[in-house]
Amino acid sequence: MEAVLTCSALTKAYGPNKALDNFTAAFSGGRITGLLGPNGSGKTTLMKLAAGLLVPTGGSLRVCGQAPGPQTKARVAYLPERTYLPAGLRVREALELFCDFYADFSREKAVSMLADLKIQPGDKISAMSKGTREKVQLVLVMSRAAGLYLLDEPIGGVDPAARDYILDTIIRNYSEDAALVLSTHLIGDIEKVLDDVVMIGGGRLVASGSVDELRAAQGKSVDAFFREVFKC
Amino acid sequence: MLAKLIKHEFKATARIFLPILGTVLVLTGAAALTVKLGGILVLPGGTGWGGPVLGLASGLLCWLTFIAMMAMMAAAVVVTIQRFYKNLLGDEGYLMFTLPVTPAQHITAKLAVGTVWTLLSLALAVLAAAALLFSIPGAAENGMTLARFSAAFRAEMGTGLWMPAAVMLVFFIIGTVNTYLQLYMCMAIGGQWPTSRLGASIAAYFILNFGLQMLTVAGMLVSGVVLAATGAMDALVPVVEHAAPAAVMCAVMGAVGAVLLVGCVIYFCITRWLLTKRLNLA
Repeated sequence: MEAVLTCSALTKAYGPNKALDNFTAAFSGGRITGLLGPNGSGKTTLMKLAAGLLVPTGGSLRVCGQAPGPQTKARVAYLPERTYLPAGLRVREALELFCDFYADFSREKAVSMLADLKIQPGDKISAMSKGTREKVQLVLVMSRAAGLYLLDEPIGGVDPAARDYILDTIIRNYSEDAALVLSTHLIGDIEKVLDDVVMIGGGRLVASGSVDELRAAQGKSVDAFFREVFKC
Repeated sequence: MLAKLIKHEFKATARIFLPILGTVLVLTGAAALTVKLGGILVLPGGTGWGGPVLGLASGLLCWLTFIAMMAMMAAAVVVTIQRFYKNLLGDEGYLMFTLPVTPAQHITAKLAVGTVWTLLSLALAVLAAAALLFSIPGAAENGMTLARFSAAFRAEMGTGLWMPAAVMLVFFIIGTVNTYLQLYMCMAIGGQWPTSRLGASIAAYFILNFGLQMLTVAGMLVSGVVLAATGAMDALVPVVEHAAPAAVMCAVMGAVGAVLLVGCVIYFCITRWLLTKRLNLA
């Protein structure tokens, strides 16, 4: 399948510090790619660049062949680490917001997933726990038939039962032609769902390839390989 | 997409404004009613069954109405600032800036809705004041006084009262837009320091206004010297003396308005550039 997200010599600097340094990689459609790296390795910066929240300092980034802008934002479903829904909103208003702005959003799918979680359309975001807010965000993002899903640490900071629910929701709902990029450092939990991995350290590409090939070449699991590469 | 942004912005802000506007309306109605009833029921010398009760109630309600009007005007400004700061530069920015719209559309939507609420607040404050004024006994005579003043104004200035009212309204709109865009720009500058965004925004506002004041004083001094040195002042004085007062007022207000509009364009462009190229969400 064609690459949905391509990065070529991508660099992002904050003053003298380079969060991404000459990073080159491609993320193909129909594949679930784990963007793996320790804290501060540049994973979130790469996702923000692809989501159009940051502008590169150097190099180039293309989403579905286009530079980030309103057209690519219509094709990208981004789940940040933070809870971003306004506290004053009710769930039905959040659904309306996504319906209004994203042509690929399925309200029925979202309502069905929310019902599974026993979340009502009249529920207020401010009355929800952080975990529930994160689940609502995940439902909103996964109810889109996007071309590129960017999920930044979707299982970070949640209990193991919630991790299973989140991974199951992701696997069952993403569009099969889409590229799904999942950033995390909790590799053991997600290794089983990954097709490809891109390892990043210090803003640079460390390793990339299919999970099966990596396991065969290294003779160990991705988790074990990660621990070896990024050993402190 | 801009229309959709404006729709959602109105919905988000209406949750705050509608209760405030409703409170002002109710208080104004109650205050006007007690003032009117007091005028009918209270006998000269303060006797009559309703005298002390209505007097106290109308005084209290008028005072509360005034406080509510002030709160309404303040809320219009505070909410407009807070919406930009929190909705675009805070965590909610992760949602807003991943919508398929441009930063220019975000700024325009916030500005349009903030300006409309400010104008509505002003209109309601004027209407509330008029309602209270005309509920006072002898209001008809006040109306006559206004008519006489209007006739005298027309005779002196060569135009009706509508003209200064219209100029002031246009000026208020331009001034409001200019103020909000300036504040947006300061917040966008402050956003370059995510760990101390609020402090940096306030600092940017004070530094900018200090600079603008210095620039205005310098501009006035320089233009005064140039006008005097070139003899343009001597040519200008007779023109002003022979022109209709209304025309002079329009020319002065027009010049100030044009400067404010130039400021609007500059603030808008800088804010758009910062939100496009230098967005720095926490």
